[in-house]
Amino acid sequence: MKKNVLKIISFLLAFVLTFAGIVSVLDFKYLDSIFKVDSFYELEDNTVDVLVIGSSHAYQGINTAVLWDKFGISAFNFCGAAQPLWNTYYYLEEALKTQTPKAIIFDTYYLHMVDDYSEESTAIKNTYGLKWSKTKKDAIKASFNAELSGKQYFFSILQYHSRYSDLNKADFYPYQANKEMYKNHKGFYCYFQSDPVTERDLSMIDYYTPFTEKTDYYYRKILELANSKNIPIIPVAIPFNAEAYHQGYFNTAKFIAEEEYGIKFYNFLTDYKTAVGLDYNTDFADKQHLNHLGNTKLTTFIGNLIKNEYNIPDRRGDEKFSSWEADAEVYYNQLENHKVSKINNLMEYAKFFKNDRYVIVVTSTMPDYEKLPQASKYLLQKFGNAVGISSSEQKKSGVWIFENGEKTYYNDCSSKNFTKAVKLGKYGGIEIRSTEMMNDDDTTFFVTSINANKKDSTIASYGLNIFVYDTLTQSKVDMAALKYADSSFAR
Amino acid sequence: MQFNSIHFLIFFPVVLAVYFFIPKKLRYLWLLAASYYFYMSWNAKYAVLIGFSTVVTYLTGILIEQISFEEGKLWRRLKKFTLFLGISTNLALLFMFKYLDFATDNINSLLSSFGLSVIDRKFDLLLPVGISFYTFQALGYVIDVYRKNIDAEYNLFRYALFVSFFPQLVAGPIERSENLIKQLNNADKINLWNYERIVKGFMIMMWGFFMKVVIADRAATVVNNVFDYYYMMNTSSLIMGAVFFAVQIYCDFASYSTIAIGASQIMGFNLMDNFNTPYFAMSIKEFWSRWHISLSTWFRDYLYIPLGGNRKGKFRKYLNQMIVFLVSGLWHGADWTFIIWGGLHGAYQIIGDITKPAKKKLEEKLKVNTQTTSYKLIKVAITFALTCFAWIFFRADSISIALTYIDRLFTCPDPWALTTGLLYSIGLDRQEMNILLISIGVLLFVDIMKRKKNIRIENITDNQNFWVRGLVIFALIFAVIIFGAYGYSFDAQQFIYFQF
Repeated sequence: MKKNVLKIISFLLAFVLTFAGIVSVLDFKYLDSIFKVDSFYELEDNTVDVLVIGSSHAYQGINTAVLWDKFGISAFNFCGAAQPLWNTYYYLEEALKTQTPKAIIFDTYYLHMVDDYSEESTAIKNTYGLKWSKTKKDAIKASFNAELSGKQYFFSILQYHSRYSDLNKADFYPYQANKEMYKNHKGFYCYFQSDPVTERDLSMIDYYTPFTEKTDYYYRKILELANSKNIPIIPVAIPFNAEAYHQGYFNTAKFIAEEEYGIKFYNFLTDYKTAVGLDYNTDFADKQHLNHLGNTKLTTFIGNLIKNEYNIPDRRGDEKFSSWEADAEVYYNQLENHKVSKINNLMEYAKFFKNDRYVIVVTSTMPDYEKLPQASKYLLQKFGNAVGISSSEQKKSGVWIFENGEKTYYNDCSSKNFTKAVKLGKYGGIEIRSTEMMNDDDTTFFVTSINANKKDSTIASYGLNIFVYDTLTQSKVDMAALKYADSSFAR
Repeated sequence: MQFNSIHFLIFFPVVLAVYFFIPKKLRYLWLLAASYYFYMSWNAKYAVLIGFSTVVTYLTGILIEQISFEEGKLWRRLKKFTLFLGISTNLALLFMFKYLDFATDNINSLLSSFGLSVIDRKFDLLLPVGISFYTFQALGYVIDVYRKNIDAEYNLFRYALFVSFFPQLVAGPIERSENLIKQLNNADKINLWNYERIVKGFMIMMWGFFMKVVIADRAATVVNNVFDYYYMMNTSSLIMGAVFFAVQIYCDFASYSTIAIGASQIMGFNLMDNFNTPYFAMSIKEFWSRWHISLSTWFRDYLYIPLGGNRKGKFRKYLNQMIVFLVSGLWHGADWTFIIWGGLHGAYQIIGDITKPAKKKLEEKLKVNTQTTSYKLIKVAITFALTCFAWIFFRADSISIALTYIDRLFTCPDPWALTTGLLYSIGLDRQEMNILLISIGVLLFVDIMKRKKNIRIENITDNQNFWVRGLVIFALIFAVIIFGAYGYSFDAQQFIYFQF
């Protein structure tokens, strides 16, 4: 009997531990609605001066780093991608339990939603991260058709167990092994690419499109909740590739807000379009979202507006708000990474070697230095002097590693084969190789290569290759090269 | 509630917790209450139906036994009449709920072909879950009492539990009164705290869940895809569709019985084995001694034998066999597809029987060694192919679909499709298909152990260290939790779209 009890207890113990392990691996590990909500819960009470709610239009459109950097505003972007208004309402309800913002910016993009329930995965996403409370229960009730799946929702493993097919290495680490990146996160996410968007004049659209009953109910509920707490709320239409029918909804939203609640509605697609000054050719990341250029313009405009109108304090320098400083730093680092990836000049590149966030791996495949074009020799010399590659090193095949702005490794690759693994971040890495090759005249030389994910990523077969990795964002920043044959810069 | 539902996941432990601790005398009453709750979770109104069926067969049993005490022709007739009344009442109920619409439709098409007016009425009665199962179980009991195989049960509640015992209520095994009533009568004598029995019962249950949610429900995706788009599919896909349906239906049916057997074993009851490695059968006859055993023996004992069995000459034997298979087809569902499926199996058996002497002679003449593995494997393969062929009718939504399916099966050859990745494009992606294939491999292993060495899943780890058993249970539980086809079919794209 005793033995059996022991067996059962040890079995149960092992079961619980294994189960916990499996749950931690399978559980959702995404920025949107998971890490973002976690970050919100980590905030100290009453530290958010400006709360942003709504869909991805807001969380890529209102730049918290710019608000901090330019105005000292502590803002949090508590939004979710493809978030219908009922989810926005419950996010707001949840946020106001611990925060008393001085203003709320409310993105109204999803007013045009015609269904009463969003697609199931979206509904899961927009409710999953919330802590258990009446708010979450109500959010689930509003988000799911009870007959279909409401009850099943309460067992979270039902939602994520099928993620086994999407698992990757990072899922085996909390926060995908990148807690540093997320710990000060303020909910804003930025795209840096550009995609031109059709600019339409929507100011001529003067009709009013009614919302669905459910959307109408929650739109009013959001305004009323802010009103009941005496918190100024600013409903906004954030620019995107909007069409006439969208404007119909925004007209209705404006009418309700201004005529029925006395709340000013800011339509950045029409009324304030010129004031913001977006360039529709360069300021959008895709058809739906602003990029860093666009969101900086929009945020600067909004920052100026609310700073004066709602008397929002400048929190810069206050220790209590240091996480905003850290968050802004992440954004500006990302911006810098973006700039690096756009450089088209080797000497410009050399400037970034001093950046202490970067691990930079340089390889050079040099068949015969004497035969190099003068321009390549000149560039190599200038670059080498700038980053610390000596003139003797420049003449041979070799590998260099730069960390914390310093050269930390050099290997002369002119005499033997070699392989070196370079660990990057907590679970990534690349491999550098040097392999002996034969020239036409039977002499030999060594070809260096950079291998990422078991693939040769080398750009210039005969030339200087530069691989840049950011230890903060734990991601590859760029890969560029100088081709010795024609002295060109390549990416 | 389904076995693979959150509801059951809560229900069963609660039932067990109370069952293990209440006074022994109350055990059967608790199980009765649990069984009715289990059944009513589908629809509370069903309780009236099962209750009615229970009371009718309960009274019929007692009446038959009381009449049996009397001598004389009149009493014998009265006994027969009582049996007839009991059976017909129950069959009428089954007919009304399961076959009325089917019958009306057929009568209507018959009437309209003669130019007569049709019955303008649709009954649309909701088919009560498990009605075919408990009706047959109750009828078996009445016939057993009539045959004096068992004594009538006088305790209504105990009898009601026999009819409604929740583990096997809605999908079998269709228990025999001799086996189950006796055990229920002794429910207060069961030593519940038997570690070995409980652990093995749990293992059986987990194996059942594995068959259901990892194999059957995953195979269903392929099957649905092939049967939904049969008109676009070629030979290889259609063969795969039929083969995967064979896997699906086996794992679906057998899993339910397996979970029922495991759950009952935890509570101290032994239910009959219902599926015994059916696809290893070397003939259709053998297949039916291994497939849904509780149903086929039910038909044998309560229909085939009363019809005369094989006692009245060859023709009657074949006729009886055909009747049994047609009825069996109809029992599976109110549609001609099921009747044809049954008819095909009847025909297989009859043809097999008729050609048996000629086949034997030929084998002797050609000096075929019938004891070799290759010979046996060929027989298994042929039997499996015949079974799969019949499954097409079982699964197809109509006879015309089944016929088109078969037509394309033979007229749209694509001999190299399977070597060019077809398997990964007929409903499941590479990952999911590989999981399915590995799981079928596990199923094959378990069935081979049972067939070859007579070792059942719960005994697989008998001679191993205790941690090996723990590991097997672990593997089953986590395979079910992770790879089970349940809950949301979550689309990670929703997140990945905005992922770093």
